[in-house]
Amino acid sequence: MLEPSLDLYGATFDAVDGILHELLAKSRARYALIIDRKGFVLMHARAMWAPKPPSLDSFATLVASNYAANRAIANLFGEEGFKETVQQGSEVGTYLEELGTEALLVTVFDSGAQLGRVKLATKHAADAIRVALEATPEEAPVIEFNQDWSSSTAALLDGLFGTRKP
Amino acid sequence: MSTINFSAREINFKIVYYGPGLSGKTTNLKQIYDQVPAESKGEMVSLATEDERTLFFDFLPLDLGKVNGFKTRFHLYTVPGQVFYNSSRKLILRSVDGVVFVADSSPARLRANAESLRNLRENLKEYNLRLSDVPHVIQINKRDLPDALDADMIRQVLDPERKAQVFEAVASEFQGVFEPLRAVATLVLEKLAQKA
Repeated sequence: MLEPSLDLYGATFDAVDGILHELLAKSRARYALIIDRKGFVLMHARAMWAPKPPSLDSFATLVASNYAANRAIANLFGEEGFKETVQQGSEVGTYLEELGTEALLVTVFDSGAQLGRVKLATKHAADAIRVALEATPEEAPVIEFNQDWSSSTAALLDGLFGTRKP
Repeated sequence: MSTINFSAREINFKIVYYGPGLSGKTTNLKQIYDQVPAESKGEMVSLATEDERTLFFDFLPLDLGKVNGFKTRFHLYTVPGQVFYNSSRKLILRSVDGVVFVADSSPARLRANAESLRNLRENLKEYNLRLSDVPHVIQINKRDLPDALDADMIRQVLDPERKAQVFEAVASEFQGVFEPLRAVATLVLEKLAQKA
């Protein structure tokens, strides 16, 4: 089965992209990402002044795993989850909001941003994203998984791992 | 369940290396990382203890390339094999698309192989999945051990009905590492094509 975690395409994509950039402007954070709970990056935005981010794949995987682990810890104490997930280093911190059951909104900020402002802007952005996602979705683009697609992926697998032995 | 990202034009799959402690799951990922060209891989992340035993997981993203304008990507994970890390194993299995079960050829680990497979089945059940629902292959690793059990005997314990593809390997020497990955990736892609 193939499913998008969130319906992020067309007008919804543009709306959410705008929300992420507004979040960065209001909070003075470096990056804002939407990741799904499996650890895949769905969307991201970077402040103009921010340094190049680290590997987003690694970051998203670690955030999603950390979120899942924290939730498991909360479950041990009879809680469904923790209300806030904030991490603060001496220079950089992260703040996380849930987006429905499938995705997470993560804001990465540095010591130049105020935590309170980051939290508030992220909560507002999460609300706005939820509203954008609830709007009538456009029809999802169609991808053809036909014989051509199968042959092409088989050729790519051969290229990466070598030809399959009979 | 595979994920499509329309905005980034990506199709993503999650492959998990499962098996008993010290069977060579992390070694597989390290070898894949070493052998795959730089443009097809991302950073490898390992959450390990000080003595290099997997604590939470290892992670390696691979890019297969573009088909019909969409990038096809595989995220490879290992689970911690040690028995007491079951909570972590359960978390890693969430939304899995394919499994490579890494078995150990040592006679002393035959029972651990069987126990780990049973544990895999139990943990999949938590996500309402049966092993037969998930594309999977078996890699019988450490074939270079002087007292390695006969591969057929190990298969008889793990897959008596002979339904899964089985690959013999010496992962530390990069023998039999790509083959099971290629096989499980093919199964995952075939499953997607059938369901779409």
